[in-house]
Amino acid sequence: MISLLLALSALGYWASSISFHYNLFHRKQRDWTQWLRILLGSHGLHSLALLLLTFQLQHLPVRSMPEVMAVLGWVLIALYAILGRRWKVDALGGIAAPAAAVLTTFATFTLGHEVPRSYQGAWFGLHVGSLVGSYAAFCLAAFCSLLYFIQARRLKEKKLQTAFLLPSLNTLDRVAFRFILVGFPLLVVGMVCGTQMPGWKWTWDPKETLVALTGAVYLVYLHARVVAGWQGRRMNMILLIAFVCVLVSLLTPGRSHGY
Amino acid sequence: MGFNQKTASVEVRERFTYSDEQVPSVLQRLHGAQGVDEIALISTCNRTEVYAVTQEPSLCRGSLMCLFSQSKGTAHPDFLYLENDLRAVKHLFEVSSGLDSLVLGENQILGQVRQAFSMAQNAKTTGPVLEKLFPWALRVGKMARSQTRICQGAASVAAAAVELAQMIFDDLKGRRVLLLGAGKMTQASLGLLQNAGVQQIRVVNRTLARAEELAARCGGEATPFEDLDKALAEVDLLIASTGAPHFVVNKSRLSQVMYQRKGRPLLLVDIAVPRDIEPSCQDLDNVYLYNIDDLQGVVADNLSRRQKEVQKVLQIVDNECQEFSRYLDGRKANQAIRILRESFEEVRQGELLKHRGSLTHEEITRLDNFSNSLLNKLLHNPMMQMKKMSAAGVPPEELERALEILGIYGKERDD
Repeated sequence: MISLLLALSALGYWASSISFHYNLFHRKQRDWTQWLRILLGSHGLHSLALLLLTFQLQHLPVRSMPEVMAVLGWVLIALYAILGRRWKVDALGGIAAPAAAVLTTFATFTLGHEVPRSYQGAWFGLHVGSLVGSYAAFCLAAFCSLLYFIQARRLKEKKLQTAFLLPSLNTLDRVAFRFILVGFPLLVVGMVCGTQMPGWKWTWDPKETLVALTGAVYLVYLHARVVAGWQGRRMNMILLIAFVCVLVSLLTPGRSHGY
Repeated sequence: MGFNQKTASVEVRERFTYSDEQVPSVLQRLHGAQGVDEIALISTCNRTEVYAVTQEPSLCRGSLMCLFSQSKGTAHPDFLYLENDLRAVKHLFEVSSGLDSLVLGENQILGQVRQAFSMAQNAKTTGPVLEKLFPWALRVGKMARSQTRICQGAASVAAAAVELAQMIFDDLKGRRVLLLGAGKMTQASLGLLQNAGVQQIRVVNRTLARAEELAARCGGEATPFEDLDKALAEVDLLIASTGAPHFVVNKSRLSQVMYQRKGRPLLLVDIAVPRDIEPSCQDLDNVYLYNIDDLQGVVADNLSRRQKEVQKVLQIVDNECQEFSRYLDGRKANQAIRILRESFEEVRQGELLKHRGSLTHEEITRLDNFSNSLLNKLLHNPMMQMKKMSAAGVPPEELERALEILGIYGKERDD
């Protein structure tokens, strides 16, 4: 049942991605209604699947990589639906929906095949929950940056017929910054909660080191943006580099981490 | 009846363009003329059109021609076009849709049609037909714009520059603009920029006096030419249109400025010929350079896309014309039914009057009720049949012929 719901939500995310790109690039229309309905419907199914999984496991589904991927995809779309649409970057869904589709498809095929670690306690829940939230916000910030480069390229090449379909450069730059303002505190909370778990000490664990490095890159971005007042192309380039760090740290296995 | 930019030269158009203050008196004068039942006047820089409702077309035409020629010079009939009945309705729908405008699909005409209707209403020169026709035309105009792409994309160089700025800055509210040179094109962009809500306009010109003159006109601030780099570091949009024979802004100069801007995007619009901005400035990060050809290309693309939408708009106009025609037919059918009812009522009242002297008040009341009920029953079927025929698309003339057979309609017209 859970696998079926996850599979259906993954299919829905793929369908909404195709609908979005068909509207944007084929019909050249900024008509988000249809694909957004499919996206939100799929998110509903996704929520139901995670709820049932939580009841089945008797804990938050964050103890194995497939579980985390399923939750990350869900948070990604939730953040997009709440914040992205509020900040008028509907076009961001054009990347967020396929990303959620990839994560959910992965979770559908691998769920139950991995033995979950037996972590427990509030610190663990806070640690993983905050980090998943921060990674989702960083994903959306990176997608904004990606759109920034696409839009900047179109404006440089004077392809205005397609440029008008995307948000303005300033909007993308501003929204990426706002997602970092959401994601960075969550990253810090997640890291601090991790240090509070029983028996933790700094041992140059590859995953932990990479997360710390990721935090440092985002700190550089925030410093340049807030203190020095920089924005534009360079800042968005830093965000993309930081996102690569996020991906590497997420996928690198740690000595004291199950995934 | 009227003329537009396609049929009349500017010399003719300027003779017959009426200001808002003049329109009410012109409307009153035309409304008082022979054969004119209802009238409205659309007067813009590109067209002067009179929409009149009349039962006597030839008399009305004479009145309109006569009043036109009396007021301002002599209108040569060659410049005038005259459309009757549904062709006139279709013309107004095309006007409100922007199909008849100089710039295809422009939005201003919709406001001008609304204003013309409002002025006619205020002058009390409208009636049931125009009261229906003008709101209908406004609705058609809105439908054309919402259901097709007839008004999408900038249609002038200045509008293209503003549209471009919106793709970079989202909103021009609070933005700072630098005008380099005080050319005509710069001045043309000013109005649009101010409407878009720019916060500050700075003017740089080799001659400070000219810069001050333009700055005073647009409520901006004149900056000496020597402070160009400083100004460039602060503004978001530069519009250059100097008459300089060489580049005024080159890449090395701009790259220093861009460092001070800390990555804030800068839109450069170079509408000068020869160009004021070195083309390689486009290679700098966060610099977006557009010259006059780029903007004209944008405008040409937009206009050609609008042209492709014309058929769709014409389809809307045709459909709505048919709807309006059905409304007019229905109105005529209702009129025929009213005439039928009034004619029989007249006979009934006449018969009642004959017996009024010989009967008591109570008997008269009973007779009145009886005759009224009888009349209702007798007329019910014919009236229902007429309504059905009208709804089925039978032309109102057929209904009028039926009344003529009963000797009613002919009598009504003779009266």
